[in-house]
Amino acid sequence: MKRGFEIVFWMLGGALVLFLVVPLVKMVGALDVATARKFLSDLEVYHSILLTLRCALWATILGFVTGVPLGYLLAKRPFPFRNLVQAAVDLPVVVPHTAAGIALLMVFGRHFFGGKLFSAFGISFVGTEAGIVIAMTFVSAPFLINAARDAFSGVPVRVEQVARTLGASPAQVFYRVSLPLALRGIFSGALLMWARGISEFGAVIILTYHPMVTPVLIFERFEAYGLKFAYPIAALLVLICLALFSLFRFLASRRGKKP
Amino acid sequence: MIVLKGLSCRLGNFRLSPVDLTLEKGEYWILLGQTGSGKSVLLSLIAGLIRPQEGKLFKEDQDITSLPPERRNFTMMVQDFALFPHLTVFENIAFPLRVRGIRGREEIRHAVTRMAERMGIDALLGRGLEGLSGGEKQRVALARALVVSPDLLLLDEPLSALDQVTKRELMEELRILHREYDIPVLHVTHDFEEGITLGNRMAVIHDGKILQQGTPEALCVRPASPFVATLVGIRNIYRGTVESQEGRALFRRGKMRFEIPSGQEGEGVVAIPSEDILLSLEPIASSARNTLRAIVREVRPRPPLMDVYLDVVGIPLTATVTRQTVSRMGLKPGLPLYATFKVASVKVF
Repeated sequence: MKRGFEIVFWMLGGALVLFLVVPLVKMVGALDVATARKFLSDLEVYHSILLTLRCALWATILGFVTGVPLGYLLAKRPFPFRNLVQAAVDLPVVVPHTAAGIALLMVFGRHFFGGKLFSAFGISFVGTEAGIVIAMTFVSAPFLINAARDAFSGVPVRVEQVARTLGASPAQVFYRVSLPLALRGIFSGALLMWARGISEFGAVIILTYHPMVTPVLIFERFEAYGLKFAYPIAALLVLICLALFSLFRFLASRRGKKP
Repeated sequence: MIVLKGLSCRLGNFRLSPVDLTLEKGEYWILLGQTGSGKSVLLSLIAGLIRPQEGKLFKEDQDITSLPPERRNFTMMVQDFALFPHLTVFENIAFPLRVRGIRGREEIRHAVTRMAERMGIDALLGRGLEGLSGGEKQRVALARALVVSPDLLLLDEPLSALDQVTKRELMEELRILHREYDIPVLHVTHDFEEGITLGNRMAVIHDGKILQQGTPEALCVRPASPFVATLVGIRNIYRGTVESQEGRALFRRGKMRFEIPSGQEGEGVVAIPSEDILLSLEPIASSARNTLRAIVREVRPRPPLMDVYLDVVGIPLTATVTRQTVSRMGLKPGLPLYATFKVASVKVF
């Protein structure tokens, strides 16, 4: 009885794994070194990939600076309407991304108050890198905020309280105890946010078509020239991301093992 | 000297009634209570982790009621140690020094090393926390709490997570430390054995109220209520009726009757400490006026003594005797005998 039950689970689960892995492997596998080199020396592709990585990094930095405090508050302070704030944080995950782009445009567009406010500082969000950054931040921030919240929740209150009695102020407890203990969780949240930012298409394209982030470029090449001209860029982006994430994970695990 | 004046608070459904307590140098206070009694709440109040609704807290005549925990210099050690897992043993002990703004590397190294040597953990200083035994972690936590010479040491169930052997070792260590460091200690526990071994003052807390405070001896000899009596390990607590006969007070529970020192007529609660009961195979002539016929039901060890569970006309009575008595008298289930105790040893509530 039990065997039959397990076989069914293995088959269903296995089918899903194949579904997730095969297309990516096939796409990346179709890429040969010559094609990769040719496309990387295409300046538009090269710059687009750099632009994407850079904007997603900025978005992550922005998310880190604001999301870590927010995650801390959500985890440690029972403020009024906390559940409401939590729901608001999760909102971008459930909103269609083109809708998110439209919503952003209605605040940060040239004729709206956010756009006007920032134009005073010479910052515009339409057709600019800044636009890409806020689009990426909007859709990917929940990953970092929730990771930070969970990481801070995992720091025992008792440890923080004992730290207070040992003479640490609330700020010292945060920097010397809570943050170091939560850092691993926050780091993997940041990595997730960065990855999510890199892959963003819908929200970005509404605010900024040009300069083109790689997902937009892939879409454009596919529309204009077809699959043969689109897949190598896609494969390159996947490979570069995989390499970067593996590197960061490796560095993080080494840091974690240090006594 | 630390003085609590009517300190009280409310936390959700829980209410801590106003507490008056004075902790002096050289005193080792045991706060004895069960889970949910409010003993940890009181500790948190003193530490400054919870704000009281009413009352005041003084340290050497200075009102510190509204001072945050980091400025009270009352260090705390807790059951699961609450060590900082991202820091080495050295850095754990150095933590209170660093957050106090002490920068000198030599100064910190000197203080930490001295403290670690005192606690016998200097060999562990460079290590992380993984692989430390419970006893070692305990010593690290103690070193960390004492390195800044606190004005009060707060211990929240400090021994409850340890095995018996380690626990005995650390109890001894705590006694010595207390003698060495001339500071008051407030030790919260549910374990009377632990309390009586360590404390020279004891307060019993139940349902958010301090029921009694004083020396452990006073609590054992004159427990203020049946609850305190139970907590300090007194057995044979009976609820029954008190009657007066020819100027003597008699207690009756079912068919069991014996004389008590005094008491109001009507319902009453009394206790007979099991150590005060004398067992004999024949009725003995002595100054003790209470002799009851009993049958042995069970004999069980209570190291280093033995508990003899008796049946007195259907009512259980426990006597505590030595091993020698058990073998000399041949105590075994079914044996009829006599239980004798002095009127004065009966506690009346």
